[in-house]
Amino acid sequence: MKTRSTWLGYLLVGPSVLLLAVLLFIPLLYSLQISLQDTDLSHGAPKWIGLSGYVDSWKSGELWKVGKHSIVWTVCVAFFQVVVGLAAALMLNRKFPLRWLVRVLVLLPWVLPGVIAALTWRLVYDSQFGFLNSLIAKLGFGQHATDWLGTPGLAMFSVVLAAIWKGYPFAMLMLLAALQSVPQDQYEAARIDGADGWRQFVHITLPSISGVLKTVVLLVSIWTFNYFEMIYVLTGGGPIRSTHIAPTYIYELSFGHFNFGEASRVSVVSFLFIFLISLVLIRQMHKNERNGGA
Amino acid sequence: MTMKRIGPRVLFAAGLALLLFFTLFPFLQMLSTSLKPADQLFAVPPVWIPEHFTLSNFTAALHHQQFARYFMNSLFVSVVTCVLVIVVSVLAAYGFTRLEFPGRKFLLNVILVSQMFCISAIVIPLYKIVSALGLLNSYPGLVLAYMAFTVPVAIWLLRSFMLNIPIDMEESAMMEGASKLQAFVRVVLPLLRPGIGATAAYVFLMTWQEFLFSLVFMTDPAKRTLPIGIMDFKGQYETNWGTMMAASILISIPVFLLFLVIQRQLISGLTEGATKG
Amino acid sequence: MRKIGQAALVSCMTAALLAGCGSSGGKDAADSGSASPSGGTGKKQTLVVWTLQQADTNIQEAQENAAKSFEDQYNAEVQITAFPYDQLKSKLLPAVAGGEGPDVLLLDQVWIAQYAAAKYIVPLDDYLAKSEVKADDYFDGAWGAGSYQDKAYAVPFDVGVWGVLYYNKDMFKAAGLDPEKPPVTWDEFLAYGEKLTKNGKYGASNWAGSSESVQCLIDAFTVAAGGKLLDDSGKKILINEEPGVRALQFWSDMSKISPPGSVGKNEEDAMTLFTSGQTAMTMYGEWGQDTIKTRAPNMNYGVGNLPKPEGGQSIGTFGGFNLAINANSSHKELAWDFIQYSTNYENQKKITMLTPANKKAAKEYLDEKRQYPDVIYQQLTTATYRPNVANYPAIADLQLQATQKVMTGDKSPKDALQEAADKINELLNK
Repeated sequence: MKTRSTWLGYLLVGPSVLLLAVLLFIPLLYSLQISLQDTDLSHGAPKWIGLSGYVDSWKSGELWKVGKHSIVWTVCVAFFQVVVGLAAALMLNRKFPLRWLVRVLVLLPWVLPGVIAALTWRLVYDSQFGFLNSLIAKLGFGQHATDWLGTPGLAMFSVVLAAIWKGYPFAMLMLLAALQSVPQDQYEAARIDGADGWRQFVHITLPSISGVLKTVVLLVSIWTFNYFEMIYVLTGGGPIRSTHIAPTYIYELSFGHFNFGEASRVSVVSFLFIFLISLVLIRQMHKNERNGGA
Repeated sequence: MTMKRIGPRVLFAAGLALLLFFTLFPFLQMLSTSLKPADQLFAVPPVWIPEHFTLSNFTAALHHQQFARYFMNSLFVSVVTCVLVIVVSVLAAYGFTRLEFPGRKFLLNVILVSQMFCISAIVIPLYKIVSALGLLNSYPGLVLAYMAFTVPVAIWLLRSFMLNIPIDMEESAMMEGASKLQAFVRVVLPLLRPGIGATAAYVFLMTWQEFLFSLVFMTDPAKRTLPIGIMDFKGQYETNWGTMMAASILISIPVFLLFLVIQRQLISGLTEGATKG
Repeated sequence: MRKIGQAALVSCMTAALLAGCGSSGGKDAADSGSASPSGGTGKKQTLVVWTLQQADTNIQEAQENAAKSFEDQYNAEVQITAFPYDQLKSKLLPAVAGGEGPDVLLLDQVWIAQYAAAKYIVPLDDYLAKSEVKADDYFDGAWGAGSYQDKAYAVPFDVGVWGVLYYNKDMFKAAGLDPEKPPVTWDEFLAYGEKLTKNGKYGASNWAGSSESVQCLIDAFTVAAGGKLLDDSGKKILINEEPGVRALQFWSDMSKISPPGSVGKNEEDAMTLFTSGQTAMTMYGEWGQDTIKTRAPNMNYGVGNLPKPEGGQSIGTFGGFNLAINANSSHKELAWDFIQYSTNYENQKKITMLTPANKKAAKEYLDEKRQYPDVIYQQLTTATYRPNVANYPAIADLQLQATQKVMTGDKSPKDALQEAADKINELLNK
C-alpha cells in the first residue's frame, strides 16, 4: 500500500527532476527551437524556417540512409550484446576453478575508456600490422590483408563486433545476477520430470529472468543507438558513409559543419524514434510490474 | 567417467575459452604494443610476443606530466558523482515506490525518457547553461553534468531494487512506533545496500570513462580527467602507441582490483533487485 | 519563442541556484577560461589563449618565455592552455558558440572560413591597416587561407605542406635505383614503385581513410596538373575537369605499388608502413622527419619534391594554423597585440610547432632543424590552399567519398568526380 503524501513525494523526487529539467530538458527545448531555423553557414545569419527544414532534411535522403544504418547498428549490437552476455552469464553461473578471476576479467572491456577501446580495435583491424589478420594466418586460413575498416559492407560488421565486445559485460553482469536468483528447487523438479538442459533453459531459466532481460534489452538498445565513440574513431562514418549512424552524423553536422539547425533536426527525429520504440518496451514492463503485485 | 559426462564438459570449457579469448584478444595487442620499443612497434608479419621487452613505455607513461594527477582527478570526480547520484536517486526511488502523489507516473516516464538524448546534440546548449551558472572549468559543473546523465538509470535501477523489498516490513516497523524516516533508515536502507552497490558501480564506470563533457567543460590542465589526459599521447598526425597502450593498462589495473574486491558484493547485489523489471 | 526560451532558462537556473546545486562553484567562475570582462580599472588585463599541445618541450618552454616577455611589455597577464589537435577542435566550438572561449584562437586553416562565416571571429583589416604586419612577409598560401570573402580574418602562425616525398635510400639501392635521385614525375614515381615492389615490400602507400590529408594531396595534384579547385566566382567546383580526373587517377594507380587496404588507412598508417620498412616511399608533411627520428632513428632516407605530372609542376597543399580574435573577447586590442607579437620574425623563429609562417623565419628554421631545407622551402612557396568557403567540410567530405569510390573500384575517377561535382555545385549554390 502506498502512502499518499504529495509534498513529501515532490520533495523526494524534486532534486532529480530539477536536475534533469535544467541540464537535459532545457537543452532539448533549445535544440527544438534551433531545429526550426536554417543555420547553413553559407546562407548568412540563421533564419526562421519553421517545419519546412524537416521536410528538406527528409527529402535530401541522407536522413533515411543514416536511419537505416542506425537501425542495423542498434539491432545487431544490442542483440548480440545480450546474447553474448547471456551465454557468458550462463557459463559464469556454473562452478569452475578460478571463476572469481574470470568473472572480473570479462568486465575489462567495459572498464576501458571508450576512445582507448576504439583505438585499440583500430590496431587490431589494421590490414598489415593488426593481430586479427595475423590470427587468421596463424589459424591456417592463409595470409590475407583484409581491410576490415575500409571495405564497404565489411566495415559495418567490424564496428559492430568491436561494439559488442565493449558493451556485453553490462548485459552479462545483470543477467548473471538474475540467474543467481532463480530458485534451484525448480531445476530439481524438472530434472526429476526428465527435462533436458535445453528444456530447463526454456521453461525455467528464461521465464525467471525475463524481467531483467527486458530491462537489459531496453537499456542496451538506447545506449547503442546513441553510442558514438566506437564508429567515430574506427571509421568516422566511412568508407563512403557506409557506417554513418545518427550520433556520428549529428556530430559531423554540428562540430564539423557548424550547421546546428540540421544537427538539431536529426537529433529531434532520432530522439522521437527511440522514444516511440522505448514506449512499447516500457509499457510492457509496467504491465509486468502490476502483475508482480508491487 | 563416461563419454556422456565428458562431452558437455569439453563443450563448456571450449565455450569459456572462446569467451575469454574474444574478451582478451584486443588486450593482447595492447599489452604487446606497450612492451615494444618505438622502433619495433610495427612489423610484418606482426610480432605477438616482443623479442626485446622494454618497460620504457610504462615509465614514460608514469613520468608523463601529470598522469598521477589526472588519475586522482578522475577518482575524485567519479567518487563524488557516485555519492551524490546515490543520495539523490535513493530519495527519488523511495518517492516513486512508496508514495503516491499527483503526476507520479508522468514524472517517472520523464526520467526514463531523459536518457534517450544524444549527447553530442545537446552539448552546446548544455555548455551555455553550465557557463551561465558560472560552473565552467570547475568540478561542481562537471559533476552536475555527470549526475544529469546517470541519475535516470540510477533511479530506475534503485526503484526496481526497492520494489523487491516488501512494504509490510516497513509497515510493521511503523506499527511499533517508528517514524517513516526511522523505518526507512532501519528497514529499507540495509536491505537496499546491495542495490546501492550495484548502482554505484554503474555510475562510477560511466563517469570514470566519460570523454566529451570532461573535454568541453574543463580547461585548466590541472583539472583534466584521465580519459582526456590519456589522449595527450595522440597528436594530429602521430600517435604515441606504445606509451598510450602502457598508460591504458596502468589505468585499468586499479579498476580491475577494485572489481576484484567488490565483485561478491556487486553480483549478489544485482541479484537482489534486478529480478524485477 | 526565443524570449520564452530565455525566460524559461533564466527562471529554471535561478531555481537551480536556489536549490543549492550550483552554489559551491560560484567562486570558480572567475578563472573559467572565459572572455569575461575584467573591469579595466588599472588592473592587469588577462588574455586567454588556447593553443596546440607541443610534443617538443623546448618549444613549449620557448612559448612560455615569449608569453612572459609579452606580459612585461604590455603589462598584461597571458594564460596559455594547450590541447592536442582533436581536443582543440571539439573544445573550441562549444566554447566560442556558447559565447565564451579564449581571446586569441589558434585555428586550423580549414576552419577559418567557418568561424568567419559564423561571425565567431572578427575581420582584421582595420587592425592590419594601422600595423606593421605585411602579407608579403608570409607564405602566400597561408595568408590566402586566412581570408574569407575578401577580408582578412586570421594571421598565419605556422605552416606545413602536404607534402614532400620521403624515400628509403637503402631500398632504392637494393632495387638498383640511384639513391640520390628520387622520382620527379608521376610516371617515374610509378615506375620506380614497381621496381621497389617485391619480396612482400611495396614501392609506396596511398590511403583514403577518413582524414583531410588525402584530399590535400589530390587537390595538390589537381593544381599541379594545371587545374583549379574552384572558379573565380567561388560558385562552381572544377575538380571534375581533366586535371582533377588525372590527379585522382594517379592516386588510384598508386594502388598497384601499395599494400592492399588503402581505404582503411590514413596518413599515419602510411607513415607507419614507411618507418617500419614496408614501403620504400611515402608522401607526408615535412614534420614527418620528427616521426622518422622517433620511430626509425637509423633509417637512411632522402626527401624530394612531390612528384609532378608530365609538363606540370610540383605543387603541394598548405596546412597549418592561423591566429584570430574571438568576437566575444573584451580585450580585442590586446589580443591583436598578442597576434602581432607571435607572428613577428623574432618570435616566429622560436615558438612555432610547424614551420614558421613568416618566410624569413621559415628559412632559418628549416636550415637549422630540417634535412633538405631547400626542398621543403621550395615546396612551401608554391603550395596551394584548400577552398576557403564556409561549407568546405561538406565539400571535402564529398571529395573524399569520390576518392573512396575510386579506391574501392566502385566507380571510375571521371564518374566519381562528376557525381561529386554535381553535388558540390548544388551545395555552393543552395
